[in-house]
Amino acid sequence: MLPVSFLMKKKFFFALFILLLASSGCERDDLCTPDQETSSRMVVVFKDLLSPDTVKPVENLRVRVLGASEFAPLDFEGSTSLEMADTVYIPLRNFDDLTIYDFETDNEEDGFNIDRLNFSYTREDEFVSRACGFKINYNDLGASRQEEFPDQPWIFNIEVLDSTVNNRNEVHVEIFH
Amino acid sequence: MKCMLRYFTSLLILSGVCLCSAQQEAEKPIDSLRTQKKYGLRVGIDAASLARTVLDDRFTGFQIMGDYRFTDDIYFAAELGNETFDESYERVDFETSGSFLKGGIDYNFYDNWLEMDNMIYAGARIGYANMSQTLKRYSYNTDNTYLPSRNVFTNQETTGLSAVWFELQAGIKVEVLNNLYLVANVQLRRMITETIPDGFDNLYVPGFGRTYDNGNVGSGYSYGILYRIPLYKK
Repeated sequence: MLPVSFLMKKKFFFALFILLLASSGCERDDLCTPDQETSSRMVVVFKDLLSPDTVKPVENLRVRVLGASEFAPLDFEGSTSLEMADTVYIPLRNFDDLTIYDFETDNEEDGFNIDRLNFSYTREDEFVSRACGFKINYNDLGASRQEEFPDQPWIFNIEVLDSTVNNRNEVHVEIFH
Repeated sequence: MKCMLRYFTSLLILSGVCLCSAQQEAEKPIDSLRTQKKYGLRVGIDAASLARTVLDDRFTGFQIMGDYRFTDDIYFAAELGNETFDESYERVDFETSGSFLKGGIDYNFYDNWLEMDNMIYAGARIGYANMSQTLKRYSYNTDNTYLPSRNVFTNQETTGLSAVWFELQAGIKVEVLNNLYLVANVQLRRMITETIPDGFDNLYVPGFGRTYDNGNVGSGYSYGILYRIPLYKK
């Protein structure tokens, strides 16, 4: 065999190897990075009862799951209390088909007032990656205010706009006050 | 552990190289006639799978391999094996189990002297695996820790999954005793097609190895021992 053809064949296989390597886009994927998908949160927008198309922020809003001592995060910075809240992102429980939240406001119109809301849903798990595990999506979302609590509610109406909670870009629930 | 295996592999390669040079010294008187090449079927087992079965708690595997000389430098080659891989990540535990078959050709680049019969080769294969994936446990990726999360224990098994890939090999086959060979190679693969379990993924594929989230390339290595059943000389 001629040395030239030997070299050429060697080059050919070397090139094939490099080609395969280059096309791999080898990246470490043993770490769960923040850009990967997380479990969905419910997106709630507050609207004016008198003009339903207008967003009306809630003053001094805090929400807390029934029985919890700490308040829930309302945005992705982890704020548990907002002075003027128009859109909030609320986590739902992933081990039960019902999450009960106390919505708390403190303003001139309503005073200090807590309304108790039921959020019901079905759960659906979705695979994300080997490092992040799964995310949860919620389907068939339903929302209602518990009637007997309190006597003078600050929330008058709740509407589910999108009953499938699987991303943060859709508004799922509108609360009128 | 991986380092140990690599160490073992390089020892094998090194001993192969030594043997080569030892054989080269034992030159015969120059003959104007072309020496006849031995043709036959080589079969053997992959020691890397056996070593990993012993050393790696997650892995159980067995692989046989063989080749058949077609021309001076071209061999038909195949590997057949069975693997079980049981992996625990922080948020996912799973087990993969299945069999694979790889078939293709090896091309010898090495010019043997006289009756030597060693190979420095590059090979190409098409690989096929049939497997089952069992998702044993998982938990959720969340962007907050307000609500307690949970582990979901399921034993959700998906059977009848398959994968097809293309593979390149580079390695050596060295005759250490008459008709007895040591083989060592590295492998680079690219997935062509795979069936994916519903609501999960193929995180490991028998014969292919672990997969990557970004990309469809895998790699591996093998070393072992082959015996040639001599058939004829040409």
